[in-house]
Amino acid sequence: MLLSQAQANTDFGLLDRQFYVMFSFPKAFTSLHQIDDSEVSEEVKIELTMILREVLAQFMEEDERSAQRNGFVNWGATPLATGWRQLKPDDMMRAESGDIMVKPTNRNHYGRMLYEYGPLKLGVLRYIAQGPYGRGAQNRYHLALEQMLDSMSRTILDKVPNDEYNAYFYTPSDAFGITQNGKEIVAIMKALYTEVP
Amino acid sequence: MVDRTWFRYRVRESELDPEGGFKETAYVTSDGYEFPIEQEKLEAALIREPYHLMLENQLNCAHVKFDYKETQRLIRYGIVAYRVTWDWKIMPNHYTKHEDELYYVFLEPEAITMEILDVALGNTAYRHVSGKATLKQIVSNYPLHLQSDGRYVVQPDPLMGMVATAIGLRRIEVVHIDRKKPEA
Repeated sequence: MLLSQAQANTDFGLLDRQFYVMFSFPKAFTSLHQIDDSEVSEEVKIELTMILREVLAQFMEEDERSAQRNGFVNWGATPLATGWRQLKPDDMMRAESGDIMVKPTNRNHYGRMLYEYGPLKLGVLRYIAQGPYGRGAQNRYHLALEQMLDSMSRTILDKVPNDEYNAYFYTPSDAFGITQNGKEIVAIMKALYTEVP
Repeated sequence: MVDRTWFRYRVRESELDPEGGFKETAYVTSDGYEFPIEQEKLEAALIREPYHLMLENQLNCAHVKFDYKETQRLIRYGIVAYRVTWDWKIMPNHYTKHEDELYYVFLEPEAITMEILDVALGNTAYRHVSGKATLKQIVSNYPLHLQSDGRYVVQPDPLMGMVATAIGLRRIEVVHIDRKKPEA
């Protein structure tokens, strides 16, 4: 269940400001929350909000620690990176639909969080990591997030169950709503870039 | 130290074109589908089963066009080249905007090696990779699709997803690749 409008505006207002300071997208949370349900389902919006919130919280925590290390952001120590690293083929199963999913009994919270709706989440995080203006204008948080995602993508295939010979990892048209004229990803990108100067 | 890097480029005489360069040869997939050199036959093979690839298409912000000239050079490795123009209409002058950039589709990604990526596509970032690397079925040397270390991006990307769908790839395969093909 999404928050009430008034509560959401207050909560997301703070998150927006913190996210803006770190990743330079001014209205990421509020705009995501305001996307029409006909464009992006409520479930996807909640999942995206949760992952952005987690990235923000973990990078802020790491930022406090990194003050001792000349600003070096040790993304490898974040629970998201650890959770992804610990996700093994034995933790996965083949769903009835044919998709590969994390076993319901698995307790790797952050691994599951990254894997479910993984293509969409990793895709959106990639554009956040590049910053609103691309490679030439990234700050150290963008760079740290980009390195984290690059590292995760190198082990992406290691999450596939051992008995899968030829694993198609994802279907782009399903993952991004491309067959519906790309309306899902277009709505998300539009929300992310709201009020970007 | 003596430079012996040229040894990498030694090829059988039968593969060399008397007029210079490699002889352009057809590609036959492990399932027996042939991709000849001649333009008409090659285009026919691409649009046929099992690949059903598009020769030209526009999908949302992506315009893709099959590049025969480039593919002629690469088809011996099972690589098909496309020229791609991209423009997010919702964000004018976005940094992702590009025109006529080359994108490469691997017909059989598992048959690709790091050496092929280096020699055929000119990506030198795999020279110092020890062990296996991960590769996505569609790649590009455009900086947007390269990781910070120069390797091809593997993680899902909406832009690449849109281009892949426009080309006709229904699913994107991700595979492990070795440095060289194992000796037969």
